[in-house]
Amino acid sequence: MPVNNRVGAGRIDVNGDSPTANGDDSASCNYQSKYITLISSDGFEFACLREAALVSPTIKGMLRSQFSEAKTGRCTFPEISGVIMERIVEYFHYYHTYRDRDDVPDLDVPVELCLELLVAADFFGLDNKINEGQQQQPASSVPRRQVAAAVTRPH
Amino acid sequence: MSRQNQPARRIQGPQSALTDFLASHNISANQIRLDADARRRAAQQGQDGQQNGADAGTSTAPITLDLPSPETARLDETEARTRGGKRRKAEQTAIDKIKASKKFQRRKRQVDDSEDDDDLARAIFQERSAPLPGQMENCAICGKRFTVTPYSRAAPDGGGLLCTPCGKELQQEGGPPKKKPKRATGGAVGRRRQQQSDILDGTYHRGAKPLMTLCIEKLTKHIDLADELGDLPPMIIDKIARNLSKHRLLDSRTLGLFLTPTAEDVHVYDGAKLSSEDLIRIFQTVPALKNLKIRNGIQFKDEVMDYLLSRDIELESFYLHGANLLSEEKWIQYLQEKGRSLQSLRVYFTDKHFGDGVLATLSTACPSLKRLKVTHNQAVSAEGIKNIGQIKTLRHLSLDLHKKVHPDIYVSLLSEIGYDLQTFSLTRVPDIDNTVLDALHNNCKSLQKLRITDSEVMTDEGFARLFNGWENKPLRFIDFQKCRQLDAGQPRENPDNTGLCSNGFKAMMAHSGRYLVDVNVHACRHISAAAFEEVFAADKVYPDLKNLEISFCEEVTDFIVGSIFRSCPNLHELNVFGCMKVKDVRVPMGKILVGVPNALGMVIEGDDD
Repeated sequence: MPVNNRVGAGRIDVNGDSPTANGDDSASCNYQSKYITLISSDGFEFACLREAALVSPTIKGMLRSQFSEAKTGRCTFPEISGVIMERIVEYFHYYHTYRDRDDVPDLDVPVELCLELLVAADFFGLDNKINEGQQQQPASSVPRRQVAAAVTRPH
Repeated sequence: MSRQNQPARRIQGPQSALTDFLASHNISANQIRLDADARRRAAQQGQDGQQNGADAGTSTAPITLDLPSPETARLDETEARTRGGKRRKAEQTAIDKIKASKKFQRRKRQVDDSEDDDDLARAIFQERSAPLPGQMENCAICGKRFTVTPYSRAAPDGGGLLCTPCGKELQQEGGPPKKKPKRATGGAVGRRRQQQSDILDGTYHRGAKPLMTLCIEKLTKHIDLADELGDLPPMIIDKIARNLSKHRLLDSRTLGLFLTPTAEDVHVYDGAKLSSEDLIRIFQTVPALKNLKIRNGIQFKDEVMDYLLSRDIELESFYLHGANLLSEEKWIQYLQEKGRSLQSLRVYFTDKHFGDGVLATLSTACPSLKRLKVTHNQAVSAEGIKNIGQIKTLRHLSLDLHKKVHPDIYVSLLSEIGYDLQTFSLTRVPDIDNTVLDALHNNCKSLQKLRITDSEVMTDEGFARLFNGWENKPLRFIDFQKCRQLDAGQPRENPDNTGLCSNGFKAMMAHSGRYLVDVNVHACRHISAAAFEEVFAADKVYPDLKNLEISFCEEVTDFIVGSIFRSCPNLHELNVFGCMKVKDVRVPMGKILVGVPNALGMVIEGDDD
């Protein structure tokens, strides 16, 4: 799939039906959305492809059944700071982009965030088990660059 | 020059046949050498003149430093003077050409108009006429002549090259050269090799690495920056410890990261760099220690054990690998004083200091011992194994001994503690025969893991008897590696059906197939193709089987491998080293087939859906 296509499609989606752009919309609309919103402790909101975020068993659990997160598509994490959350969302999309590839370039983890990210990775369940329970997913994906564009300032 | 060019008076010693031959054909080696010298000298002087002409513009007196004699120097000088004019003309046309070229225009745009056109053009000209490796050149700093090599450094002001001593000096002033970052994978081949290496390590995953792995790898690389690991879950701490040990980075300093007063587990996966003091430090800083694992703990000596004895630490699980300086008396003393709480004792590679005496102490000193593993041990003999029979609480037993033990000893051992055993593992036991299999059949009711390797006298009949009508519930782990007939005189024939053959294999899969996770029948080479086909027939399913090792089972064919993939939906890895009839198998998505004998590579990761 050509890269240009993906970028274009991604941008339109973010501005169109992502919960970030629409704010608190009606539950049914957000439930259908391809995107969910992850909110960090300091109020940053990250729009994240739902499919990509589902790699985390923690988020998968939150979005299942009748929790309020499942209805609104907004997940608040009071333990995770914005800096860390940005990396986590970046990882979700990185993982999603390369999920069926053999030669995957390593995502660069900044040394100073290493330990905090390790704790966050444990919190989100991003350990060896994610590869075991991996399912075949449709091939649409969002490039990493877009993550930065989808960040909104705290209100 | 003319004097040198003339053939010298021929006063000569004995000469070679080749010289004679050449002389008879009117070829003089001396003449050839002189001609070559003259040509080389002319080329050098030509360059000197060019250089000086370019640098000084109008100068007509090139300075050459190390000419052999004043006479030749004078000759060179005159020659250079006559050539100088010609060269300057040629240079001027070259520079004009450069000025007209596109490259020059581009360069001029990049550089501001600070330099005038002539300087810029001359710089390009010099760049182009820089001497090639192998030629002589004057050093731009000290002026000495030297031979240009590909490693010769350019002068800092951009004009000319430097000789080796000046180059070194310059390098020292500028600090050590920046090393190129080392790439982990060298191109496509390196990546493929790394991937295959990962597959063999069992760490291969399609897709991106887990974030945790990425973080731990980064942390390992920069472990020297870490002062403490903070409040991480024990599982992550353990992963970091493993990764550090893998890179041989666990030493006195990094050990401190894992020693927190509240910890209950300390796992030292590579203690090769730790001293006795470091090991003592473990007991000093971790008073609540329950589970201790030390690999390569060479420095775990008597003094360390003394210190452990002096502390109030009651270990529940003790795993010691490579501590061959620890004496038997200390082992016995430890067990007598601290054995009460011990539930698991695993001892590897201890040469001769962990013997029958220690095993005799276990039954009285350790009332709650559940797991015992003694491997690579040269001291334990039949006497010690008899004593294991007294440990009625034992659930898991693994032995890998050097001394020969008669099968009867194992038979009586199984009759005493076999009923509750969940793990029974005998590695490298060439003399163990069917009586042990019968004892397993008669005594064991709760076995889950069974390993008997390298037996040369067990027969197919014995294996079939073990599994047919066995009251034990299905096993989860079976390893009958290298239980096969070994007769170099008649390698093909196997009249007595020695080793695990067709009937035993069929009985094994019929009894345990439903719950088996790991099966290893490596080199059980008399299992027939018909038996494999029957076991992995279309209607048979082995839902739990993850790892199957059938290397060196000669009869395995493409069809059998395909049948295995069909019958084992959750198979992760299949090993077929040395199965020469496997030629071209289609591997389902996500499965790993290792050891295919083809030129493509020994590992195939499945692509087919």
